[in-house]
Amino acid sequence: MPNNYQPPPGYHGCYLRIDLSTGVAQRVELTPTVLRNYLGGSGLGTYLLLREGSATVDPLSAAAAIAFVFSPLVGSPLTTSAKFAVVSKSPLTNRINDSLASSGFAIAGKQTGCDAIVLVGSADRPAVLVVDEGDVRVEPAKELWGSDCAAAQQSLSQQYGPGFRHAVIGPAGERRVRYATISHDGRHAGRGGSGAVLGAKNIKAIVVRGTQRCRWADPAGLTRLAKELSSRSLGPATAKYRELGTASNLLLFNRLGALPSRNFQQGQFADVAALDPVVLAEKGGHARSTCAACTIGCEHLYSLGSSSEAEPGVRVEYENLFALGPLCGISDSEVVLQASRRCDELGIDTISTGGTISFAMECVERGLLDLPWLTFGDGTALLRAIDLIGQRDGVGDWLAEGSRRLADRLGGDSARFAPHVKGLEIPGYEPRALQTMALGFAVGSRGADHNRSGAYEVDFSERVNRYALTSQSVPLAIETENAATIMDSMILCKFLRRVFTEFFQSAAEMLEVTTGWDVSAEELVATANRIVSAKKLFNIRAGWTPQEDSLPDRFLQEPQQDNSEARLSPEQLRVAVRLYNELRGWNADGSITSGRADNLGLPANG
Amino acid sequence: MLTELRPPVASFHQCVFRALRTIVGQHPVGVMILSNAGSGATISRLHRLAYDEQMVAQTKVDVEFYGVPRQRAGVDRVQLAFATSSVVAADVIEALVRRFPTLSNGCLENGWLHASCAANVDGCDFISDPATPLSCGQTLLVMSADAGG
Ligand code: SF4
Repeated sequence: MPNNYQPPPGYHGCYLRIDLSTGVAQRVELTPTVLRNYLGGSGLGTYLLLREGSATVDPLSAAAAIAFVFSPLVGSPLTTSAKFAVVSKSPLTNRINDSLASSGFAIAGKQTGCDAIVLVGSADRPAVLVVDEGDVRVEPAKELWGSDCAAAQQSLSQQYGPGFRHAVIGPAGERRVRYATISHDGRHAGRGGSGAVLGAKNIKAIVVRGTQRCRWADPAGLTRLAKELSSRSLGPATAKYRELGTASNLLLFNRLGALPSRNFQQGQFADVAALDPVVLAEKGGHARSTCAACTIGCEHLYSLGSSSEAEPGVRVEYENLFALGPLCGISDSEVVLQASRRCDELGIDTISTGGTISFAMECVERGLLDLPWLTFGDGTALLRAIDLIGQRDGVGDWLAEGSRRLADRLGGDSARFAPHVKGLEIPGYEPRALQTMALGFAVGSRGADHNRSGAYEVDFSERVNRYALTSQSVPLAIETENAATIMDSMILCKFLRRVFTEFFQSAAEMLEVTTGWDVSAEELVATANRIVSAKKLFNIRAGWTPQEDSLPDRFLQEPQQDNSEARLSPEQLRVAVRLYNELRGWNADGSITSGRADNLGLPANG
Repeated sequence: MLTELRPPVASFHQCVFRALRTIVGQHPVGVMILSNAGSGATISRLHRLAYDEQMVAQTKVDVEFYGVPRQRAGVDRVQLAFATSSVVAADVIEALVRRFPTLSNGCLENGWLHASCAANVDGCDFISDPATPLSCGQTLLVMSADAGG
């Protein structure tokens, strides 16, 4: 990197590329144009993966790259900005995967003096990667290998001391469970299996420490905006998250017939009241916590009735509650809490875990899988299945592959009801009852995903009929995806979104005070389109076909069992996907011509 | 009087209703008002809310609370009774403010929902128009608007 390069404020202007096979670490320049075009987080990570040529390699091979990407806001006083993205090709979907997490790892990682850490190659034995500012070392993991996520973090704290922050994988990542997570301060970069990618590189943990801070373009302006944002983050727009947490969705979604139950056979769950967070709190106790540098604090922890006071509570969010509860027919709150805790310890994504197990339960019911013990509503079976997945033991080895590969193995008509898009298990939004979200799932670059598309917001409004996907829904779905793309690239927590009346304008102001760029709201919309297109380009290079921008047959050929109004036709979805592609500026089938890629400034392969 | 009430913060219907209540006291029941709001003339029938149970109820509307509104109201649901057969969503919200003053804390404001809240009829249609008619036996769901999980 040239010595005289002056990066834009908010950035270090380079990424740290570490080849684990050779031990070579180098800082690679990131130009102001690249930074402005891709911002950081999910956007910059996609650019780096394209540049590394990762689309065409096996995500669990040594050649695959995995990027830990920070953003211009990390380290600033803006609330919820202590976030980073983990970007790689997903071993679950074989498509682009970006999962975000909040923790001190983001701040310490950026203070090592780079905007991203990119790992390629693989260590020759289980190892811990240490990035201590300018010093990069690969150290033996020794007895850390095999330990669960919390224990590993505790050992690392003791071994390296308080200045270091950690990202770790659990036993599931070591065994390459295709939906293994990477854990940070008890939170997870959860979806798509980035933990397996790290495990395949023999990396148990990354520990980072540094002292290099970025300058800000307008420190006084930044302080003013940060104060305003913090104050608004404590208002009514975030009250749900602060006071109740996302778990409070459960009863509402059930009332609206949008709570996926028993592997998406139903949209309501008869015993839902037993899982009401209010009931959880009464049974075992309740505490609140927060991510690093966040004024909202949406984490709600519930204690197991059976646990000792010394044991920390279990973090409960809507997604783990739905996936390990109604989706598997489970109404015993103690079981759901135990299952959530076990997933956290093993380091597996709760949505894919619940989705794959519930799919297997239906396969058992239909005689496609001979495991009489694995039935809907059986809590002991759920806990046993989770442990088998974490160990890849027996049938756990099949379940560790996710629902799509399990359906391939079982055959019959199981693919019809395997609950995934592009291989990623569907989160807790019933697509037939929330049809703008159905479109969001179908076109999602990482598969069925409620974080990259917020199309459910449209369904929860008077702007559309949520039971009738029409062309009117499409631009609204794109708007939510664009906003999410900018939030995931800048990076800010999505739970802030209702705090902003004009999100793109506010985002432009934040970028201006941090980077000094005179960015407009229009430019950010174009940036969002570029980033979404870059993800699509990655997928095209990875073998994407138009047929995968759809939903499993269950959602297109059957109404919900308990709500005949909730039906979606293949033609409705096809028309909407076509329009989506056209509005994105792609070909109607979703492909991107090379001229279009050039116009967007997308990187060439390799 | 009317100009002080400033639509569209409150609907035309609400503004007239509130003004009349101020002018004639507590009981502007069954007044017919000709309004030229919107593109064509419409007739808006004003009525007094009868949730104080002293009047004969003609319309009963159930309200279910979810999320923060449930927290503020302290109950899961309530049934409201009105002395007229034509009730609109704004009437229900007005009744809720009286019945549960704590809903003014971030859920309801200026006679309608705070931006952080949403309303839905019978679990089907989301509504944003305070003049949405509600008939006897219908249920209004009042919820936190953000469905992020
Ligand atoms: S709102 Fe919740 S998820 Fe978002 S940064 Fe704060 S604690 Fe973390």
